[in-house]
Amino acid sequence: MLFSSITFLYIFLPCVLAVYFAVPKKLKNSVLLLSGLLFYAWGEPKYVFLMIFVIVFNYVCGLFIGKYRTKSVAKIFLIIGIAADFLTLAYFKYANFFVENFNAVFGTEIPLLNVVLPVGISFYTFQIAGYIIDVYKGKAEVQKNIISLGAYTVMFPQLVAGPIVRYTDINKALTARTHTIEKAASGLRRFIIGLSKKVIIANSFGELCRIFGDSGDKSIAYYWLYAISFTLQIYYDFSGYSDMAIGLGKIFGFDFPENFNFPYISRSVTEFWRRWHRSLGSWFRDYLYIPLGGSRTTKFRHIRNILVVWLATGLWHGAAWNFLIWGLYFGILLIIEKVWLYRHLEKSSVLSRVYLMFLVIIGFVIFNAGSMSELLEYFGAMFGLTDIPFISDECIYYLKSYIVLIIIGGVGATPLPGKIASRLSERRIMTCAEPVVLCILFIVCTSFLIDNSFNPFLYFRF
Amino acid sequence: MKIKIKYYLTIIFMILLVLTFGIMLIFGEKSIYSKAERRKLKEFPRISFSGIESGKFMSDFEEAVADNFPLRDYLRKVKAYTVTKGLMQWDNNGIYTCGGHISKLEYPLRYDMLDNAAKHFEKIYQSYFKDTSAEVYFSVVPDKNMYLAKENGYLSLDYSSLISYMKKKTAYMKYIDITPLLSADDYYTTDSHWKQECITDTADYIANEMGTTLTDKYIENTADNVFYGVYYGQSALNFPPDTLKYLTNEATDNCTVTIYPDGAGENTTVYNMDKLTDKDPYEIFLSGAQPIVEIENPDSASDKKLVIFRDSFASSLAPLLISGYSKITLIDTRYVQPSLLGQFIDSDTDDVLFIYSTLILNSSLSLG
Repeated sequence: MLFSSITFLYIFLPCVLAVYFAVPKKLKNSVLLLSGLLFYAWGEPKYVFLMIFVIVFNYVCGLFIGKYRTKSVAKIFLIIGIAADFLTLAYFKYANFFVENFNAVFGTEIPLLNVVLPVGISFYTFQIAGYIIDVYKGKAEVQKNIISLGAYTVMFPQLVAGPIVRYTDINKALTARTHTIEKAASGLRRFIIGLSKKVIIANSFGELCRIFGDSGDKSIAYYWLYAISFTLQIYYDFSGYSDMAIGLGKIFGFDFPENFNFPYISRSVTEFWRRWHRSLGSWFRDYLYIPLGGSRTTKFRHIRNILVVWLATGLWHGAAWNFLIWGLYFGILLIIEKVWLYRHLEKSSVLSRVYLMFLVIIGFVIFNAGSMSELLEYFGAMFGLTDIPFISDECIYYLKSYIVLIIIGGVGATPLPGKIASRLSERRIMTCAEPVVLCILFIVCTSFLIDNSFNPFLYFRF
Repeated sequence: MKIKIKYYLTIIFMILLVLTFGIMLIFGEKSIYSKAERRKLKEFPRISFSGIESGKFMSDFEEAVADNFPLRDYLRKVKAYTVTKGLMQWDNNGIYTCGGHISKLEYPLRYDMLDNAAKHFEKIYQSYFKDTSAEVYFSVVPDKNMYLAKENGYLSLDYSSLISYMKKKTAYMKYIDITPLLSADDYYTTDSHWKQECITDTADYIANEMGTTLTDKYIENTADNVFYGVYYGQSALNFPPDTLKYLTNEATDNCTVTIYPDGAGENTTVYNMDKLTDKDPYEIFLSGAQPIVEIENPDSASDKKLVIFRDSFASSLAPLLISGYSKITLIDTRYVQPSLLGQFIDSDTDDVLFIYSTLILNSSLSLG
C-alpha cells in the first residue's frame, strides 16, 4: 500500500488511528504490529510470512546475544543473524544479477531464479540487522518482547521506504511514549506537506519523465529537461515520503530521524551526502565505514574504505550495473574532494553549487538508466555526440508547460519556503489559516489521486 | 494559547474532512458509469483467496475506491484548475483550452497506425470493389487541432504529411481534399466533432467530386437540450455548452433508415431524438455508433447508390448527402468484421467513399 493512495488515506489510516488511540497503552504496540503486517500484506501478501520469519529469527538471535553478551557464543549468534539477514537479502535481490553476469562471463546457461523482490526488503533488513549489531555492541538493550521488536520492524510509517530507523533511536519510545495534541498536529502537518510534495510535485515531474521516455521527438535540450525533471522528481518523491513517514511517526508518538536537509543547496558532493538520505548514509558509516577503519587509517585504506562503502551503497539501491556505477561515481567524486577539491569549492558559493547540481543531475541519469546501453545513449545525447537536433517542438512545448513547476520545484528544494512559513506562522491569522490551508492541500492531493494514473513511488523498488 | 488552538483546529478539521469523505465513500451510492468521463467505472471486486494471493483484489480495490470516490467530478475540477491555473501547465491529461474551444492533444504522428489503416482500406477495396465499376473515393476529416493547436503553441500533428502519406498509400482511390473548406468554428467547442450546420459546403464539395449534385435546401432545427461534448467532461473545467443543431429537408424527412446493431435490422429515423438524453447527444445523428446503417431515399431523382466506410464524423455528413442518392450504406468496420460485409454491399454500387478523421487514422487499431 502506498501512503499516497485513497485506500490508505481514507480507509486504512483512519481505522488504524481509531483503534490505536482507543486501545490501552499496553496494546498499542500490538496494533502497530498488526497494522504493519496488514499494510505490508496489502501489497505483498506472499512475503508477509518472510517478514514474520525475519522478525522471529532476529528476535531469537537477539535474545542469545543478550544472554551471552560477553562470551563468544554471542558472536556466533551475531554472525548467524547477520548472515541469515544478508543471505536472504542477497537471494531475493542479487541472485538473478549474479547468475546473469556469471552466465555472461563464463558462457554458462544457469537458469535465472526469477524471484520477485519483496517490497522494502533493503530497508527492513538493515533495520533488524542494525538491531542485533547494536545489542552485540552493548549499545542497545535486548528486546525481550517480540511484539515490541515486531512493531519496530514492521511499523508501517517507515516499513517500506524508510527512513532507516535505528533501534537505539526509538527503543525507549517502544516501551514508553507520549501522545500529545502538539505532536499529533505537527505530525499531521508534516504528513500533509509530504503528501503534497509527492502527489502534486513529484508525480507531475514523473509524468514528464514518462512522456519523455515515450517520445519519438527527442533533442539535446529534451534530454536535459528530462534529467532536471528526474532530479526534482526523485527529491520530492523520496523526501515527500520521508516527511509522511516522520509525520506519521509523530502521530504515533515516535521521533524518527530526519532523512533530508535540502540536499540541492549543497556546495560539494561531500555536503550533499550529509543532506541526502541521511539515515542510509549514517547506517553505512556506523556499520561498515567505521568498522573498516574509517578515515583513521592509512591513506590507501581510507580510499579503499570509501570505495567499498559507495559500491555497497550503489548495490543497496539495486542489482544492476548502473547502480554500481552510480555508487562508484560518487565514491570517486568524494575521494577527489577529500584529496584536493573540497578546499577550493569553499571559495565560490555560486560555482560550487553549479558544480554540485551538474554532478547530481548526471548522477541521477546514471541512477535511472534502464540499462548500460540506455545510459550511453543518454550521455551521448546530452553532450551532443549523436545527430539529434538541439531542440524539438515537443521539448519546447513541455518546457513551456512545466516551467512554473520547475521554478516551484527549484525554490521548494531550498529552505526559503520554510523560512517564509515560519515567519507567517507567528501572525495571528495563521491560527485559523494554517489548518484551512492544510485541509485545502489534502483535498487537492485527493483530487490528483483520483484523476491521475501516474502514482508510483520510486524507492519502493529498494 | 493561539498555537494550541491551531493544533486543535488542525486535528478537528482533518478528522471532519477524512470522516466525511470516508463515510460517503463506504456508505454512499456507487455508480457504474461516469457520464462526465463517458466511461465505465471500476466496480468493487469480490473477495477471493486467489485474488488476494495474486494481489489482483487489492489493485482492483484501489482502482474502485478512486473511481467511486464521493464528489469525484468536483474533485476532478479541483485538479484541472490546480494544474492549468495554479501550475500553469498547458494541458491537463492532454486536454487543453484555447480559442474558445476545448480540445485534446493529438500527437505524435504514428506512421505505423497510418499503415494499418491503409492496409485495412486496401483489403476492403480488393475484396469488394476492385473488379467492379464503382468509383472509389477517399477523404480525410481533419480534427479541430489542425486549426487550433500549432498556431497557439500546442503540439500538433503534421497534417500535410499525414494526408500526403495516406494519399500515397491509397493511390487507387481518388482523394477529396476538404481541409480548405473547414475552420475551427466548424467544430463544436466542447466536442471533437464537426457541426452539421457548418458542413453543408463540405457535403456539396464531396458530392460534386463524386459527380453528384445536392439540390435541396435545409431547415435548421435546434435541439431542446444543451450539448456538453466529450471534451467537456474530460476537461472537468467550467465551459459554456454547445447548441446541437440538425438540418432537415424533404429527403431526410421521407427517407427510411435501417440500422443493424446486432445483425437484425431495426427501422429508425435520420435524427434519433431519443439519444438527446443519452450519454452522447451527438448520437442523434443516425443513432451514433452502428456497424451498418442503410438510408433509402424513395424520392431521389437519381438511382445512384453510395457506400461510405466511415467513423462518427460521417454520421452528421451522410444526411446531407442523401438528397443526391437513392441509397447510402454506412459501414463502420470498428463494429463489424469486413469479411461479413458482402450481404450489405450492393453489386450495383456506384460510389464508394472512405472518409475517416485524423483521430481514427492516427490511432487505427480499432479498425482491425
